[in-house]
Amino acid sequence: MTDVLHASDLHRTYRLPRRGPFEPGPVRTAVDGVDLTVAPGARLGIVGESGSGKSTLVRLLAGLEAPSAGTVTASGRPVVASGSAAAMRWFRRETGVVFQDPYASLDPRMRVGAIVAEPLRALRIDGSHDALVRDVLARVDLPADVVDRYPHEFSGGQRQRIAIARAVVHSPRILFGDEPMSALDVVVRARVIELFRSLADDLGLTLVLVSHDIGVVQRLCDTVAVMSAGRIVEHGPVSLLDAPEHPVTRALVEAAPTLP
Amino acid sequence: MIRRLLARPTGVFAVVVLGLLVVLAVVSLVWTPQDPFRADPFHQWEPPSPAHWFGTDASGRDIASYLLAGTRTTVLVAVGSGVIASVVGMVLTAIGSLTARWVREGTAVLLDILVAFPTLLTAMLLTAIAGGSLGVVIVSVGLSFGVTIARVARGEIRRIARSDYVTAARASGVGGAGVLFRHLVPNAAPLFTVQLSLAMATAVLAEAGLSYLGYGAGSNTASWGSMLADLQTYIGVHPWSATWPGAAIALVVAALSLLGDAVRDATDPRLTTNDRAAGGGPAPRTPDDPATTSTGVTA
Amino acid sequence: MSDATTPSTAASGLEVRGLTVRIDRRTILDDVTFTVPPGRRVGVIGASGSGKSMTSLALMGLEPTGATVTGSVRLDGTELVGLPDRERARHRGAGIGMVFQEPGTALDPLRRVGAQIAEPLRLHRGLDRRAAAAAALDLAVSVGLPDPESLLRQYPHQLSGGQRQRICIAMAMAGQPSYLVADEPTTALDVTTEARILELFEGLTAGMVFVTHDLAVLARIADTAVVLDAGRVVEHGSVAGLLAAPQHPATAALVDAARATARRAPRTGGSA
Repeated sequence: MTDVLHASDLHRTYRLPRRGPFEPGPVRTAVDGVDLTVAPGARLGIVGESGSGKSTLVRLLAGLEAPSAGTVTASGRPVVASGSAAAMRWFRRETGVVFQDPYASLDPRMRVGAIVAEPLRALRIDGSHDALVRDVLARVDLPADVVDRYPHEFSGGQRQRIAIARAVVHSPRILFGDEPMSALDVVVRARVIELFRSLADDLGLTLVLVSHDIGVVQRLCDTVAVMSAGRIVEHGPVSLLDAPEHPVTRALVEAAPTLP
Repeated sequence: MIRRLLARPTGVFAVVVLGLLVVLAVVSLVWTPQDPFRADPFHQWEPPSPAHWFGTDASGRDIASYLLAGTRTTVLVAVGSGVIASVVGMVLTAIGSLTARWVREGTAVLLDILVAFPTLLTAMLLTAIAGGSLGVVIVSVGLSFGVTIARVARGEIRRIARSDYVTAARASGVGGAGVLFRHLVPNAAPLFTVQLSLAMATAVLAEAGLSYLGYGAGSNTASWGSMLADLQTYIGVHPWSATWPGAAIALVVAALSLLGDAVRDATDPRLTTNDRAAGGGPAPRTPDDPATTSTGVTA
Repeated sequence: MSDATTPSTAASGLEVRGLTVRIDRRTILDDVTFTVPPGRRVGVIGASGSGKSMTSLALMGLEPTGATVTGSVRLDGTELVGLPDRERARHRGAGIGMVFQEPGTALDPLRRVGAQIAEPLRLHRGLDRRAAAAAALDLAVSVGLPDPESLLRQYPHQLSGGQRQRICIAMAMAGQPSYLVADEPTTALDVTTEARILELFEGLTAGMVFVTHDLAVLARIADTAVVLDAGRVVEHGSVAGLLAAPQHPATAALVDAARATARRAPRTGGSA
């Protein structure tokens, strides 16, 4: 039962390799104190330059990495990324993740059917897995006979649809996206944006989407958080992108191409 | 898989040669044309004849029979070293990848050190301890290659573990064992297979080399390497005699090396499913197909 | 290297006529024709699989082995198609330079970036080591790299994506080519870096072939464009004209997609 996703004072630091035998390696801070609340049904876009920490933040929120400090809770329950699969099962049931690179996020040695069914197996979902897989493939506009094929037989856009199917096959409440459109060409991107929107509407999903592309966020999200150097510098309804106040936001918005 | 293996010339070569080797090894248990070890000083250096298909050697032994008997040794060395290398390799890889951080790092250092020991040195050491025998050769070769396999496989497992599809599996709720057996092992298997076949190939070569140097099996075991050692001293006088054991060794080593490649290719979905005749029909049209023939150069 | 039968024109442009590329029995590019006037920028736009990457490779003579290239590519009057590779190579870098999509893989990870810029300088301009180092510094400044002296001593992995792409542009410009082919040079960069790299391109004097799938990016860099679909040029014209009134369905698809994904500019007054 995920009502609210809540991040409190999140930090994530990395220790880089040391430069000499006697000095400890430098510390890189990816997320530097983030507080965030995502209401159920919200569509949150997280934007920022590369290196702003947005990818790290979404991985922390999705329980894929453990914070160096701070907590993530979902409906009040702590999300412990380093916990065992069994301990995290309740969270994994409620969440799905779509990654950036459609060429890397599908196991090349598994057939598409097995890939999409993997959450159903791992989370011990009841019901006919075959039927659930067929249904979700139809939702993402892929014919049912893709189940016997391997990922390399498909284009980038098709693979991303497979990845999206996998992310929602178990009817989660929250869908996380780590730059899911960035590797797609513009024609495919437009269609996948539509797919995300219709899925979110039909399945009542809460969306947490990372993107460096303002256009994507303007179309899919109702709230936006702008990150820079590991912090959220501006946060509010997506309309703030029309009249950005913070210099970082302004730079991002101005850089994004518009059409004459 | 056998069918796909045989679809490629390398696969055919490997399967035919190795199949023949195994068949001959079995046959040699019950029959050889002559007694392989009988030295007949009155019939040295005879050319090929109906009685001696490949002729005789310096001691008057029938070369053909000796080679036939040697197939058993070769099979034993290849299989024995292969098994030991696999087990050692898998254990060390597991320790080097799936344990606590300090154990992993320690194993990495240990592997780097062990890999620096040449196989020959290990064989010499073990011979000094346990006396020369085929068993010593098999164990030393198996250990050496187990370490090499572990070193390579460990790197591969780490690379796979960092991939997006493994992260996606974790995000889907798959636990450690699931990730290991459903993702890490199948994706590391091709590398492992190739390394293992190379290990077996080199094992045969190493046994031949060790016998040649006198470290290997004793004189009551037929070894192609020791025959080569005997015959090569006469190479100025009887240049063709050493070709028989030499060719046998080369053929088997080549077949083993190619077997690994062929198996890896035969099990790679990317190489086996472009064959539309096998799968039936072209991939269905779906949204986001490049609407035209793909250039293979994706933009 | 000028064709003895053609009067050598100082700068007549990069003229592509009937460029056709076939691999095995598939036709990847079919009778592609367009011209880049000196100093002007022309876009080559198409979706994945349209053949646009092959266009840039064919212009450089870098098509994959086994491909047959027919047709004509004239660089200021000199015919490039059919030249043996050694002679073609003399034009690469000096007459026509290339910038690739992935700056991370276009650079040698084991060499300092300064040395990588110096290489084409020594090759094409025949400079000795000291002169090449000085010229590399000048190039680094001209592509807007901060603190160029220390930056040139770094390795590629120590630089950001945008900085790496600037290095690649510097390398491409090192031979002082008259034309530049850029194959999706900003696709791998984030949006603010992309904007800055596009500004950099705008400041270059070389003629440019800019390959992309995104009309919104093209609108900022080129005035005219050709649209590729299935290896053929299906439409061409001013970018503004293509956007306003696309004729061919492939163009329309690209325009619609660009409109569906570009940033929505705020409307002043009225409802959104």
